[in-house]
Amino acid sequence: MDSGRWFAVTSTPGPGRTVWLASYPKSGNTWVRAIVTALGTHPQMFGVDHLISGAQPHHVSMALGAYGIDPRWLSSDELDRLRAALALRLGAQRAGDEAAPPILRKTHEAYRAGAPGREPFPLEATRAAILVVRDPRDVACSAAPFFGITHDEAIAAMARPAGDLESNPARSQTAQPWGTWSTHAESWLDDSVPFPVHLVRYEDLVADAAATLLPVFTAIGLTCSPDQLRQAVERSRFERLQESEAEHGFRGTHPRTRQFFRRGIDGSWRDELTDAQASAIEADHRAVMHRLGYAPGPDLVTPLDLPAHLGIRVREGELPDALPGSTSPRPWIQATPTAALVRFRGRAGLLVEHGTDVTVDRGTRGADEVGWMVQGWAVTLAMLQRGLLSLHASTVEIGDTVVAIAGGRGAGKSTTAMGLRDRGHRLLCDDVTVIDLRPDGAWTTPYWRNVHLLEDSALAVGVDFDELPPLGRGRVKAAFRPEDPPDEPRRLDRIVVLTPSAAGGSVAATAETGAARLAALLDHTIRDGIAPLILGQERYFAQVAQLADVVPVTTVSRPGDGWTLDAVLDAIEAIEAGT
Amino acid sequence: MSETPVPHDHGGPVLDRDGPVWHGVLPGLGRIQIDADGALDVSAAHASEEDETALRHGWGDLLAFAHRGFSMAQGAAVTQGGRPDGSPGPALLLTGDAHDIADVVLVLCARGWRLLSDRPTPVAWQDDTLVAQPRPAPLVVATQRATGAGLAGQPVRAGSNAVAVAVPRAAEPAPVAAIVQVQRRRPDEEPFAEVLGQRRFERAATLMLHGALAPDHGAGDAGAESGEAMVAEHVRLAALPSALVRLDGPADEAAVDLLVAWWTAAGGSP
Repeated sequence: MDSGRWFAVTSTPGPGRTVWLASYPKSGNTWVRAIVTALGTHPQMFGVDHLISGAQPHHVSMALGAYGIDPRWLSSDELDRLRAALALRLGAQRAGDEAAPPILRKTHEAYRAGAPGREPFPLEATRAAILVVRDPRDVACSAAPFFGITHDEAIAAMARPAGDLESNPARSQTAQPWGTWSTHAESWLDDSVPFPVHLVRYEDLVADAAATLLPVFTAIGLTCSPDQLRQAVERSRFERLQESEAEHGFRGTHPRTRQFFRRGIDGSWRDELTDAQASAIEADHRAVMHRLGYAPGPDLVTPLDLPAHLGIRVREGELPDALPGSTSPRPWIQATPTAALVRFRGRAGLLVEHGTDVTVDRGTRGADEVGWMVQGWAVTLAMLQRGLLSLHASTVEIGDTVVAIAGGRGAGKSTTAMGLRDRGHRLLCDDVTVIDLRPDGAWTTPYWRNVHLLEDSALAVGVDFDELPPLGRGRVKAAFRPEDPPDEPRRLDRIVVLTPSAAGGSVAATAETGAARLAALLDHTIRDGIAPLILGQERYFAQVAQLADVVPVTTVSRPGDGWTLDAVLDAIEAIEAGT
Repeated sequence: MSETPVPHDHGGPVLDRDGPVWHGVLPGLGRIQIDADGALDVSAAHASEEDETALRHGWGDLLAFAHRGFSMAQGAAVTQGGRPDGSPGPALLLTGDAHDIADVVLVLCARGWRLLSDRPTPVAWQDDTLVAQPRPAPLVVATQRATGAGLAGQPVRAGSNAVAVAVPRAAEPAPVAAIVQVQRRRPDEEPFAEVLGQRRFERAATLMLHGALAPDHGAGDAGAESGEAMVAEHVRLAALPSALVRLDGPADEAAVDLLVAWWTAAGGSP
């Protein structure tokens, strides 16, 4: 997403002179106004208290000078008509105006066409619009001190159109609907807007304001040389605006604002917002953030979140040092039939109790690093405590059949499952397949979680690895969230065990029977020795044997090196097609 | 703003102040006419007393004053009462946002002051004295502000949040003794400051309304004023004592206390 690209159905300028300088509040509108002001002002006369283009269209008090009308005496509908008339009076082009410079007018409103005669942004008055956008996480950080509210309140306000300001005749103002952060941007970028909308990203202004604005200014007829623009940008440098505000004051502020020009950097949210606050913004505005190039990362499952149908409660808290009466099949786990305490690197850990309650201690790990603990380990341990098996497998629905792709670490389960997804099959779950053995077969309950991909795997299945948030340190794997699967349990029709072979060769599928089938399932259900510990040896082996009885198992071996994903996918599809 | 009429019918207001009789049409609301002698006639599009009142107070009266040669100052005028000798007491011109002005007017009226004119105020020079005229339109405030002040406001239009409130009125022209701009107070700002020097001149330069409400100075004068005359007026206005009051909320009695103390010291008290 580049600044300067125009949107809407036309690149032909509208017939008027007005260029709407549109932005959601706290997105850099004033900065652009300062640059435009500096372009046309003697250096010694430039100051933040004399910025041009500040007459917002919803203020119709200029009707006093234009028509002698005091708008406070008008109805809301009459105010809307007056607004359109004023916009036309100011912006409609007259004979000889063809080469006239644009009239920039600031607005925070969302675009809407309006009723005839009441158009908020009349086409006849309009040449184009400049939409200034900013990462909503930074907008929240800027809006909070500006409006004298908390970050949480700012985040909530950005997500609800209820913040729209209604018609206010007492203040000579029409309605000024801002919309949400997302709907505001969408409104101006919609194909129905009948004039060009030039997109300018705040972040691009920070990087190089002159280079960002020059093509936009050229397009709207605001002629200036690159040198003139660079000088104007220099005069409008953030530090200088701050100095000017300190010296002269700036009344474009909210009454609760101590300082309008605050930080002026992009990415400040990283040290101002909590992980939960950033996640909340991303959840609210994900689609538009992607559209505008703010790449919040994929729509990841919140690290401490699990789907309600699993019936598992997750909370953060301190963990005990030890679990009384427990056994340790591995040094990092202590387990009893009803509780399991697992320790990970970075002093992180999990306590899973009674199949329903999970306590997470992040230790020194970031929020994005604990998701796999909760979505993988916590689910496995909770299900074992409930008496269910956990198969180390990803599950895919291929046509009408449900296939679990099992395998050891590094076998390619996630890559294969994602590859099948890429071929149009439905991914039901990654890495953990919960098995509920019933009289009519083995059933699995899908649940959404993030898929963890190696860089090569991401590349193979068409996912941009660099766009994904890294997992843990070192960027070995990254997380990707596929579409949500159904909540209802699905009967498992087949288990495919991926087996890398040491030697070369081709991809081969082998139907397993008897002891080999049982052995294949034991390998991928024992879960580091934890399953028999929690379920009890006898119960565990009985369940695996029952699983081997009711679900066919096919081993798909592939070369250890130089294998191709397509060959594996072809083999699995062929199994299900019976060919 | 250019005063060139838009060359197409945009459905908005139309004002024709060429010639001795002025005409105005506000589609949907009605029309006004100001005769050569300054008499105002209003005609609502729909038979509605409310609409006629809006046309009169919100448009016709203002133009009628301009037609009679008055300038319109972007402020409301209040007086503290008459002088002991029976002459009108001096007027204080409150400029700024109408909403903020109303806050100060309500506080002052609760202290016995009288409203001469809501914003804008007709004014004219008599020798070197700027004289404010009484304008009959009621004080218009937001519903919420009227309620906060314990006043029963009457909505000026159906569904509007603008209400007319009854406050004590002054009926005689009064000399303007001082100009005070009203603002909302930002953190770290002082509630009151006297305006001096260049700032006073800057404020004087933006005090008067021009365009449609420019005073009519006779035949052939369509509201245009020479730059020289305007500068001369700015100099005279800048000679008036001027201050800035910053309100920390709608009923900032403490800020108004400072304003009144300054007004009294400046000789404004009758």
